Amino acid sequence: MSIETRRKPPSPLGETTTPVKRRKQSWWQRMWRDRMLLAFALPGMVLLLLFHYVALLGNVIAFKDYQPFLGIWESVWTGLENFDVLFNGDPDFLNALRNTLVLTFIQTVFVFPVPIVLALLLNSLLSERIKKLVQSILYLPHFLSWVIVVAIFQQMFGGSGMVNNFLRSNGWAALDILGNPDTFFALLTSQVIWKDTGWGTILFLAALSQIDSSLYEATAVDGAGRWRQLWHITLPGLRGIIILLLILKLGDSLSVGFEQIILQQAAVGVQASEVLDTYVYNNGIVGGSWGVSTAVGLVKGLIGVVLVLAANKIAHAFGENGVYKA
Amino acid sequence: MHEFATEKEFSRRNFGRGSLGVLALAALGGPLLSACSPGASGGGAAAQAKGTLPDFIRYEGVTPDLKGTDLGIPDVFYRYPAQPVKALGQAPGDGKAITSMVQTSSPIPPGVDKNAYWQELNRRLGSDLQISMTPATDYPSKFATVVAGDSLPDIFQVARGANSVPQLLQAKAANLTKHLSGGAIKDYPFLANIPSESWSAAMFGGEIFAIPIPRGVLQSTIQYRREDLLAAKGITAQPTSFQEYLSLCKELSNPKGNTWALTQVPINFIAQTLNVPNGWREEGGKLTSKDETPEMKEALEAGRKMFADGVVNPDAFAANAGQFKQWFLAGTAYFTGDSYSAWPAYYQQAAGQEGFKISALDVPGFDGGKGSLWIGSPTHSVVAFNKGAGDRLETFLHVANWLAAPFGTEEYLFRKYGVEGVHYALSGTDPVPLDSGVGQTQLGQQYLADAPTVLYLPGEEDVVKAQYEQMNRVLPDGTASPVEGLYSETEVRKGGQLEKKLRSVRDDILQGRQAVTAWDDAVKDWRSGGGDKIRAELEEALAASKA
Amino acid sequence: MTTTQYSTSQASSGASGRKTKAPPPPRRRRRTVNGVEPPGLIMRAIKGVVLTAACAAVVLPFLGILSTSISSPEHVTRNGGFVILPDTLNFGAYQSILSGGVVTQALAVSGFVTIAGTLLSLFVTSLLGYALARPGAFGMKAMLLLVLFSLLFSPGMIPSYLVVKEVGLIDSLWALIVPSLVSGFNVIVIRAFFSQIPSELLESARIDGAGEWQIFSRICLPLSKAVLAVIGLFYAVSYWNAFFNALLYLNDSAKWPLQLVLRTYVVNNAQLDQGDLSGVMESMPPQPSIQMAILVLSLVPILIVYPFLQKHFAKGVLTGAVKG
Repeated sequence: MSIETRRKPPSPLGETTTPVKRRKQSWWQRMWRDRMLLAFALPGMVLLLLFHYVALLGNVIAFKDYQPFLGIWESVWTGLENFDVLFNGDPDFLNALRNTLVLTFIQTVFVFPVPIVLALLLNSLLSERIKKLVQSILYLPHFLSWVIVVAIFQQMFGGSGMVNNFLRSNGWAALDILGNPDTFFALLTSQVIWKDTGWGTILFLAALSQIDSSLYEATAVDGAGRWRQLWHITLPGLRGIIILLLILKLGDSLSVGFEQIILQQAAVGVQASEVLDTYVYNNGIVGGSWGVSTAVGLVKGLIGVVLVLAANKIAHAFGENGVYKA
Repeated sequence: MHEFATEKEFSRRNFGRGSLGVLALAALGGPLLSACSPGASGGGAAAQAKGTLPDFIRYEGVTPDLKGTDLGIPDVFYRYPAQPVKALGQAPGDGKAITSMVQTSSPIPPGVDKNAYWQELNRRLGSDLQISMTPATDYPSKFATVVAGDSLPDIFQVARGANSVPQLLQAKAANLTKHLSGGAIKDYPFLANIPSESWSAAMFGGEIFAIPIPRGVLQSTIQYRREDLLAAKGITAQPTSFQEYLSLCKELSNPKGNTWALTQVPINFIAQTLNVPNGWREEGGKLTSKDETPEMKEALEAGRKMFADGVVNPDAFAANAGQFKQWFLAGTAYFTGDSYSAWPAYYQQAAGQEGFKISALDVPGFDGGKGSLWIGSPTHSVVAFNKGAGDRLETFLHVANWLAAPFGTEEYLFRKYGVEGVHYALSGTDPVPLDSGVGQTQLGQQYLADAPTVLYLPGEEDVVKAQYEQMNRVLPDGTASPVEGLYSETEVRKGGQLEKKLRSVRDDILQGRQAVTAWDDAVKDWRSGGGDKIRAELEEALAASKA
Repeated sequence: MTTTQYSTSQASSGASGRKTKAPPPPRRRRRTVNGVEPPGLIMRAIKGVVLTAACAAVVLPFLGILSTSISSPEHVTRNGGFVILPDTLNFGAYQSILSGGVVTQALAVSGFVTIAGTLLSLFVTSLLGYALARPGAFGMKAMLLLVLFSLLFSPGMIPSYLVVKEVGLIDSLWALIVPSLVSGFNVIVIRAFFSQIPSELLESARIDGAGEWQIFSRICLPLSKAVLAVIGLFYAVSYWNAFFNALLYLNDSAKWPLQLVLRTYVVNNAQLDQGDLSGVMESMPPQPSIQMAILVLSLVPILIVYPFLQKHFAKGVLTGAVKG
């Protein structure tokens, strides 16, 4: 088995069984033919339809002045008024949008690859014991809520925190780490990396474990070194899951770290820290405007759909599977 | 663009108002309409039309060591009365279960089957009291879903800042007017013991739809100081002007020792020294917001200076409330802002600190003379009863009455402390909570109905006395909010976000990120964004309440 | 088949790190381990430094959490609420939390919800993922899009509550499981992994007369242990951490899961405005040592479970089967 044959995208499950004369079958016949698969899908789809899509019908309150005591149908229609917060051209909104896009860019370009690198690093460790130990330690911060993470950062790096306390007691100048608007994105980024990198490796490690290890042995016989193997075997083995996760992330690109940011907003000011979600929260939702939050969710979802479908198309153009195959 | 938005807003409100009128008609029929006349003035103002408050009949069964005053200063007790009176003859319950829903800010207690206190409570009530508890910060969410699902329990605490409270209560809560208005309340002597100023928050459209959880002046925020630490430095005098306070803070701050005089910028305290109004200033029916006054800008400038001078903990804007309390307890801060109700709580948490002593600053004038403390709302929240209560409404009211039995009674002792030997031990006549029992008594029952608060800290006579004296020095010059208990729909809906925007500008100014002049623009935005509308609605409500 | 045995033993044996130093098969030219050349000294040094630094950055704060939980309240207060090293071994905080029986009860609830929920979720998700991995089959493309879009549009809190109420799950522990049984993200990931299984393998099974169920349970699942472990972990953690559903759907606090109970201990620390502490905050937050102790308690079960799942991430499960 050579590297080349392995790199061909594997054919989807059971493709060969699909009869050639499929077109001639009526939909009833096809349904009957695939009844087992449909039965497999049934429980999951029923749950999804009931608890997700039926409930989603309630999002009609995006177009209403929703009052819980009146109920969804009795509440007054207000047209597109709830969408005002997104389309009124408020300079604060544009600032929030800009911050969001910058943060999304940072998180995609600088944060997304970190778990991949760490997974490769862990994978290259020879000692299983060290590997497991390191992994067990690094995934821990994922389980702390943002409230706790922010509190810990403040205890460590705050103006009266341990680092600055140490600096001052030795006669050095204190560092403004938490309250500096210019470095706020760097702070957010390092918090995200600290919290979620270890956890983020898990999926990549699973993908690495699926790579046929005989490939390494075969290429070693051909004299391939570590780096060539990394390039020709390991990375291609991860490519599918990397692209899949990137596409899904793209669909979520208008949501960045709401809780993390809102907890730290007072220290750096709104100008530097406002993102779309905090803007909507600060301008529409305080005071219980259910309609506004729903309206914003709808718009974000629509943009997400466009982005995901487009990204998936691009992935197909490069011969990748993406989320699904056309 | 802007005008367009306002116009749209206007037409929508008219539409909404009309339909609410229809709703009120459908829900309430004739009697209320005459009092409410929704067509003419709509939710806000009409809701405030003056009705008959319940009579205030003070409970005289127990004599306090220091008597409270009409200003909302609570009674003081040094000891729990030796022979607590059993104030009520019979159990208020009807044998059937009563469901209820409250917020809580304590760790959750064991369920009823593992909770001796809860079982005893049910026995004494004569009904199984089912209490659904929700952490206070999440209560608005829980409340909204329960309302939306039409599953409100028999008794429910109304979430603070919920939308359209008057309409909500008219639609979902029992009208209590017949039972409580005027002299009718004498059937419920302990509800009658709730001071009048708390009741305005429970009345809508001249009718009573809820009972208030009274707090007197305890919700006022004051500036605490570490008297023990200051005395060790030879400082005992109160600052008599802002300048003095600032100099004192500079003297106390020692960044090298990780110590700053203040946990936060005391912006409200500074404003009070400048006699900035408490929320609003009323002159001849016209309202001016505290943020519009020129004094507020002076306060901001002074606060900015304080932060720039390095007398405030540099994490003042990054830390949370729990940390402020920790700094103050640890002595890495000398002053902190907190409510009156925290006074005894600090002593409880500082147990083990030798000689721990706190007191509060009086409010001096900015340049000498006197300032004016902002008196907090006399009502914590209100509690309503399910509209479908029918015949059981009186039972529910009797249960609430039982739960409001005042300090000194046997009922109160049980309600707050549980059963002797199980939940508390007696030290003299004072109950001392036992570790094993303390978790069981926190059912959130104080948010179903409560007696007026008292100052009482067993074995710490000096502490309550000091607090009582401070209150008597400061409160006569204090200012209550002129719009207390008045309802403005715009305020409920948009007040929070408008306030938030102002605060973010304020925080920018205090931290030196924006000039003080930015405040003018922020206030202008506040006015056009809804502030003027809130003012108009409150003025209307004010006029109606005086009519 | 030999390879399978070799790599499985790699995966499950704890001391395998040493075994790898066994002499390589004679055919190899370079010195390799499993076909990979061991790194040089400099690379090892760099790795060592990076990983040590990363671990230290995590261990230190966690040490602080643990230390704060076992320090005397006075020590914690003197140091502003957080200490890196304890002054004594004081388990008072743990005693006070565990004494009322609330936390043990909540642990049992969380344990039940997590175990039952994870097993059911894995079952339903892998079945759905298997079906969706066949784009040619009837209706699968449409269903896949529905799953995908469920990630992008989420229903509001109130509509979700209304559905749960209509289904009759209010005040039932199943309300914490059933509505969150299927996560679109997990379905899509598991489907992607299933799609990677070489089709020859399934084809040969089909020729041997295996039905869909046999192919799914005998071939697909055993080959996907790694991703099942990962998805299982994702589900387990989301069940373990969830509190908001419980908050809305359970009126009886005796049924609350651990995270919601924990919330009542730390929620009082919410950020409040400068100088404005009125209203909601009527009682002191619990001592920091208690807050940290309950945090530790909530982490312990995860620490215990993780190593059992971890071994499935190890390499080489697929290898032998393909060859065999």
